Amino acid sequence: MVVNQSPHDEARAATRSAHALLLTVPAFGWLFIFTIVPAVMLTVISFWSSTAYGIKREWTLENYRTIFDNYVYVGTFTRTLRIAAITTLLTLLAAYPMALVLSRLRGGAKTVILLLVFLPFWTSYVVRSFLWLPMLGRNGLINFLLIRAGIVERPVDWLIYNEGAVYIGLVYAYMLFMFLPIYQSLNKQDRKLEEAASDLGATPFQAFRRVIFPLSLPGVFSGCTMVFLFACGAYVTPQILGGASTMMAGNVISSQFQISNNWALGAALSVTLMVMVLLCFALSAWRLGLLQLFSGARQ
Amino acid sequence: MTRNDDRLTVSRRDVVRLAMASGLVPLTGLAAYGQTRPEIEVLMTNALVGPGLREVVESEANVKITDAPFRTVTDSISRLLAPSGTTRFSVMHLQVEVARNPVLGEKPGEEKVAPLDLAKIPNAANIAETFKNNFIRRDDKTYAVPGTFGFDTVIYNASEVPDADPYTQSWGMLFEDKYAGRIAWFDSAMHMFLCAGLYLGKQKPETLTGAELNEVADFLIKKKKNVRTFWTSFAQGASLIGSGEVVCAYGPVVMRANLERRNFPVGSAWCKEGVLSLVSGGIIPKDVPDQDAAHAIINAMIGPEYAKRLTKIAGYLSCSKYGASLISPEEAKRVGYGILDGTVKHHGITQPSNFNAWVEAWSRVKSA
Amino acid sequence: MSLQRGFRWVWARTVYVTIFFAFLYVPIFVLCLLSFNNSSVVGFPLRTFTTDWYRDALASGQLIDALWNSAQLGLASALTGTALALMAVLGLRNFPRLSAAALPFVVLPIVMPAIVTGVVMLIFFGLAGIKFSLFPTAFVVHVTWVLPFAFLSLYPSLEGFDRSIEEAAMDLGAKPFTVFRRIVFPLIRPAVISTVLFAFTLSFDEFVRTFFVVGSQRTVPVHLWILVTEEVAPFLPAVGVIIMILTLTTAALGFASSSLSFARMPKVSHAKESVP
Repeated sequence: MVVNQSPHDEARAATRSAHALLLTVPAFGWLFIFTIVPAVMLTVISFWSSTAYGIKREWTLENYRTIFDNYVYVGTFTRTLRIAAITTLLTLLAAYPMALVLSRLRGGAKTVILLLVFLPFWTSYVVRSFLWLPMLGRNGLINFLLIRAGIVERPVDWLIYNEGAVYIGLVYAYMLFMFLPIYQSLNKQDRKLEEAASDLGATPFQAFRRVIFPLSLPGVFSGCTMVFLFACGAYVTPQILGGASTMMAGNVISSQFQISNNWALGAALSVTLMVMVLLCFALSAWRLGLLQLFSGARQ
Repeated sequence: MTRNDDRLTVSRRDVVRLAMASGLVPLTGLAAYGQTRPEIEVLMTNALVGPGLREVVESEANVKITDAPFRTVTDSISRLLAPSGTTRFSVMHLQVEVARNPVLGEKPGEEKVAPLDLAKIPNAANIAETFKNNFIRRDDKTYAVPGTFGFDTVIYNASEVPDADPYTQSWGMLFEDKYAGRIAWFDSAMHMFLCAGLYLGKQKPETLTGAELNEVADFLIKKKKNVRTFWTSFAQGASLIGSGEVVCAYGPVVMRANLERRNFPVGSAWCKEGVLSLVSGGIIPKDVPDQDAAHAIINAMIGPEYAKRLTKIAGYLSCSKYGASLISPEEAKRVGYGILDGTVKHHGITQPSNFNAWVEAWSRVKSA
Repeated sequence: MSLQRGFRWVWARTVYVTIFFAFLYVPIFVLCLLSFNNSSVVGFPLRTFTTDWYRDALASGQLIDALWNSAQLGLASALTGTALALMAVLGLRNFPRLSAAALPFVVLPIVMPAIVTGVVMLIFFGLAGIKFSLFPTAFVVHVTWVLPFAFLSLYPSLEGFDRSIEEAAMDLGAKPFTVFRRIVFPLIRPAVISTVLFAFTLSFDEFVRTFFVVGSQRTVPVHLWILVTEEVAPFLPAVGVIIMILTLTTAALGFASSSLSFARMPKVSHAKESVP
């Protein structure tokens, strides 16, 4: 601890700090070139026109008109938002109790169970999405068990290739992002608060509703924001499990690039999704603060 | 993995690379596995360079082939037309009637592909007379030589659908209620609108007007309730039938060949509205280096050895004269040479004039 | 609380925990089971036991190539991303308000939907005329992807870092780099090591962004995706199990080494937090 700092020392330290700022140039330069510049290019292209022979530098609003006049695209975006919202809710319902149970355990059991929650997420993301095919398909485990048990005679078809299967896949894929921040906020709660509530005659449920849950809200918000954002951009799960009617924004965007060669419309759709997601994100960041929001992604 | 070591035939080099790759710090750096043959990247139906055919091409052209996953012909064209798309693959094998206009560009000088030096493709002289109109040419230059011939139809699980079922004589199998819930469509605007258009009696579905397009789209939306899912790759389509998830699907010959190789009882419909036929040929995007190797690959793919193996492995027929002469008449009839002598009705797949409207209509079908 | 209600609570909790873990683990168990099932269709019923699928999975060499590619890419992008993030954190640590202002910019790559990043980089490299492959296109995308995570992970370890020793050393004439090497780095080394490991796992599992820019080379997730959607290979479960075992081993190694460097229970959140 420096007790007496002369003005001279302070000035020198300030110069050093200013020089140190140069250290940020590579990272910020990198992020600028590979995040901002491409995003600007995307936005520019979304105002160009697309022909059968590729994109042309002719300025137009046609791409955005196509998106907002056409119920196909509007429908896709509302479906995407709905699927993302329901996924978020389901993930919250599945993960919160586990986080609560775990945060109230102690010792070796806690470590072991915590590890067990994490292990599936050490597998590859694509494997995690694929896992549900041999569960839900006609030859899947569930149909096999249903037939063995004599509950049905022929395999049931409605387990997969619909929106329900997409929810299962997405909840499975994103569980950890919900669990982690909630667990962290529950785990650091002071247990004395609960004891105090109980001493004052509160039932466990009242203690939960009045004390534990409100204090875990930052974790809940953080988890919900993360899961919602990721679900908005989902591509793999709807493609593998979704079937005939569950196209999400990600799938529509990729088809503009992979099938119809309509880069301009694809860019406009991407800009729309990007703006949508950034708005949602800005809203929660403004409510919660960025560092809190990323508590699950940090360290 | 260790449990099965006795049954694994992994070379020592593989073990070393596996160990290094598995997260242990790679000590030997980026030590590449030395290759003397040039490595050529191609984009085509993967079965065309699958096991059994790849060796032929690699040895005749003296190259090593890497093939990117193929999706659809429209996807391949889209990759070619993308900015700097003409540098990515040294050879692409595309349906000539779909690719013709986009690869030639609007006017001379805007070609996306390099003119072929036919002196380096001696086998081009052996292309059967039937396919003489399937070269891509502009002025006196040749840009594509027809290589393989095939068709799309309804593929079905023959153990669930008797061949005598009248449904096997029509595209209606993909739409009508009989196999409701057990049908897979191809996730491709072009192919689905073409076959639905034929089924609805349109003689030239590629020229659908806006109103007709809407009519076909409404028909597809009405029939979508019968569909279990869409497939996006040939293997996925084959697997949907092979695993019993669906009974029938929109299917190119390569899907049938895939299932036949697995001894799966597969049937192929002879649609009275006409099956969708296609001729594919190799093109060389204009800015790729390895032009000589690319020519050699195209040449190998229309050579006699390749033609001999092609039908058995990939289901396609060779456009070269060797193709038909190497199989028995019954076999020829079964695999579809009847299209060539006029005994099987067919309609050539052609790029629709307003393709963007098709894609949009297809999005409407998919999200309905 | 009455005894009866207590029992009901314990019972409900047990049921819930059972369902939770069944949901997480039954699919994985099924995958392992099916990888030994002698049937060319991935599914039930179980036939005879076979290890052929493991042989087939390794036979083509594509899996090993993909592992090798992913390992190179992961290592290169984890080191680069962490180095860039560390420099930025060091540079910013005296400017709390500037850091707060820079944060939204730094986290942008996390917030951008994966599909948008993929498409954006496809356009960017396409227009720039750079060939799609592992290096440089996928590498650039991966560094951009891990950099914000590395920044968020290193930032707290340098916040409130006591600077008097550094000041003293500098006053005694030590060069800034010497100060960093001899004083700062030893103190934050555990955080840096665990950040590199974390970044490696992030890169190793990245799929959608990579898919659009990797050309025809395959990383592990791209190889898996092609097996799932393009090839529907019957040995898919075997590949899944191999990948699972390898990533678990790698994660366990990372887990062990970071426990050693922290000399306490590691923060488990270093586990793979793959973001699709």
